[in-house]
Amino acid sequence: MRFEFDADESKVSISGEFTFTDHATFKVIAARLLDGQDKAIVIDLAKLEFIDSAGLGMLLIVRDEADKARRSLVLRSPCGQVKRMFDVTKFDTLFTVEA
Amino acid sequence: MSAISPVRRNEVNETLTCWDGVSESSLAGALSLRVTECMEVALIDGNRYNQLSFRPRAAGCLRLAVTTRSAYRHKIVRVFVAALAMRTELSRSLRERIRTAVQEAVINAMLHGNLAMSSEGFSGLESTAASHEIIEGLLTSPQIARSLIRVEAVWNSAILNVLVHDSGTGFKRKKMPLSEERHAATDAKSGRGLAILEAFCDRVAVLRGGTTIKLGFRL
Repeated sequence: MRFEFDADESKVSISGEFTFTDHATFKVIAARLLDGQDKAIVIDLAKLEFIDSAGLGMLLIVRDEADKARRSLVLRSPCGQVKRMFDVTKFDTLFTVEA
Repeated sequence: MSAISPVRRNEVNETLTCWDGVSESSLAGALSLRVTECMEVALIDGNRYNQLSFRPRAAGCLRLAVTTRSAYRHKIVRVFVAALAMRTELSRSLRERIRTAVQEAVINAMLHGNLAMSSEGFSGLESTAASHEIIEGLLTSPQIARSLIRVEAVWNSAILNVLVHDSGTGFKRKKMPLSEERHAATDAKSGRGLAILEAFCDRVAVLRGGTTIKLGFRL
């Protein structure tokens, strides 16, 4: 998994694959996102090609941590297999998902 | 050299290679086109080798035996499914479904089967980090690190079955969530695996007391 932050550290674009094996990389991403100050945290998934259930679980963890800080998490532009995983697990009912 | 030189074995001309367990690229090399079976080098001793059983031949087959340590460190399913796609025609959609389902099955085999970890340890940032530290600790035990995960694909013109075997103690069906629980939207950080398998496979069967899962895909 690769990632690229915006200058304000509250938006990140992740690409490649996000699976159980990527936990260490995602820990870094989560820490930087949660250190930011903006009300909304945005994770752009447009370039993410594959996710497994462990990746979905890690997104939920970030959402919970954002809630604790009274911030919101937006997932943006899931497509392909990632979108299909969101549909199967009804993730759009658990997150704010923007097309 | 990533793959030990292929060895011809038995009358049906199967070809066995060995993977060094170092990287996904060396695994891709070990699963080159004429190979029918690949085993991680760390598994090669008399005892473990004899644990493998072989099935009657189908139109095609590909078997991979890896250690728990390698299943934890490498994206072995990505390489395995890419190797399958070199052997039998798979549409982009079908390849995606196979990859998604086998990924879930292999992670389950590693985590819940061979490492005997529960899902509860992955519910928060701190607990997830702690669980990975526990796994790293478990993997210092040669017995656990080298415990076997076997992925076996068998296909004909109509169907492709992928069997994922672990070395754990299995599970009781009563512990599995009900269908409506599996398909409900839930905040739980884990436990979506079965719903994903049912959505992406044409058939799912749990065998051998829960130590093997069989995933079927119509071709």
